[in-house]
Amino acid sequence: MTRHRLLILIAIGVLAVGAGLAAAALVGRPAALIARPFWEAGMPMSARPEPTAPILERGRVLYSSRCSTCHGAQANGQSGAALLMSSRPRDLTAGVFRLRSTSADGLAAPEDVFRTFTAGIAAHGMPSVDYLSEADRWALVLYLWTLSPLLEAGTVGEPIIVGEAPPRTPALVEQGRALFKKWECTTCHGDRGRGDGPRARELKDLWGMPIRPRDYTSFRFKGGGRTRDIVRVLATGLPGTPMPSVFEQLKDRSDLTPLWALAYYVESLREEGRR
Amino acid sequence: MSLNTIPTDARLSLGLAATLALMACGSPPPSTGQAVASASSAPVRPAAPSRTVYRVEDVASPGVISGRIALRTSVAAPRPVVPDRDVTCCVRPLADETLRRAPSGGIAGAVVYLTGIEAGKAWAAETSTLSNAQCRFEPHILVVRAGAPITVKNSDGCVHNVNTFARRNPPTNASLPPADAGGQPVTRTFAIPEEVKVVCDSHQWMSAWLVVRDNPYFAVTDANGQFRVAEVPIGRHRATIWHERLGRFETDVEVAPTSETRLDHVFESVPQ
Repeated sequence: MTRHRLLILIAIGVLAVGAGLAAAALVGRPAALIARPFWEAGMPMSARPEPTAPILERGRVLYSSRCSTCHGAQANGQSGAALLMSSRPRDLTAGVFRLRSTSADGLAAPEDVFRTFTAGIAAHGMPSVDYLSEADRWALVLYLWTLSPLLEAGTVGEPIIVGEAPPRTPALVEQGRALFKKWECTTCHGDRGRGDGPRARELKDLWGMPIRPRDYTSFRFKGGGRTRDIVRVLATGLPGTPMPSVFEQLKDRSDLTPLWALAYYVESLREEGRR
Repeated sequence: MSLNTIPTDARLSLGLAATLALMACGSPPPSTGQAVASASSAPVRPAAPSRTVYRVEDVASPGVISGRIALRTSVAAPRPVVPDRDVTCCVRPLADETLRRAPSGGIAGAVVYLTGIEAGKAWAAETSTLSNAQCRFEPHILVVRAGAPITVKNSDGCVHNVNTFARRNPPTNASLPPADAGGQPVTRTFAIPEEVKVVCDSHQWMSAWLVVRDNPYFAVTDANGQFRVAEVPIGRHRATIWHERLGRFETDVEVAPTSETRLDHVFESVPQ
């Protein structure tokens, strides 16, 4: 047997063992295959506990066993696994969380990170850890909060209430089309929402890495693919990226109807692109 | 086959497979009963960074620090930026403001500030405003008071956004539609002193810096690199000279009663 063939056999063996272990893990955890809750401000959760020493220690232990593979031993997003990922794991020491329920002039709330732990970010490789108890998820959140001086020093933004969906009328979609133009979403996302606007190839994130605007015909919406998820991301922006918040441009911040209109128009572009 | 040649989806799958395998290998999470049971012990959350509140008080026989910040090596005149979009809004070629060196060597837009001063002269009463005007930020360098709101507004007829690359303060990114189309200014507050780069993602040539300070002893150099910091308490102070392209230089400076102390610094070259 040549050395080459032997290496291939070993590789196949390693993959088979890995797949077997993964399958065993899924069988052992049937909850992992059940539909998870959406990332949602109204997600039920226990009250946030105080960050006591045992809870923080518990969070540290859980971080090491559950998170460090991708987010790194130093929690700075640097790891071997990160090299394999097209969406890079977040640098958790920066204190910047993109999925949030609060306005862009402040920080995400600890509850927002709890929601991300529960829902996962399916399209971007972040698995849900809803197999952990709520107490454990809180321990992880509170531990993460000790990793960034920013989170100690900053203030949480104003809560954004997405509210109930207004009827999807042609007039509202048309209003969304006008806002898409007025707010120049086209600069990055392009006239038809294909992620090909004139600035699309020049954008950088907070870490100076190239970042592409979303192609609306893709399923990989970071904040979630439902209309209300799009509304929320329009309101909060995605901090650390070129995607700005438009929440402060609303005449009445308790009425997100213009953002629903814009989200309906975004969805119409998505449908048009799939035809 | 290098990683870069693997299609994105395949890389994601590989990553997912690796993650699944590692999850499977990990031991089941240990019980939480112990941790939650002892929830009554004291929190160990690290204390927030100590932020001294600056006090205004009379300064006896204050001195002045003045000087000139320069760059020894000459630099090629920056090419003007010719806007390639929103040309009805961004009407004219724009100067590159990131490195402005006078023929004499003086550097404009360097910031000289003193750190560690907890009491002294009052802050200037002016409100801090960063404008988007004719497709540039005005001013290019703005020193702002920690904890005090600043206003960011758009005076142009096209959409800008204000994306702050803050590290010690929350990074923030807000859309700024034109005022004549109903656009509203936004306010932001930076609690922690640091230098914050600001960009507009719609116009890649646009940048500015917010220099957040916790005391009013600072100055921005003029076109010839000259600066002057007045009403400085007597004694030894730590001074920082910062420039967005040339970096940072720190030194001690001794201020004598009612006298002017000279502080000059020459940067040797532009770091690559």
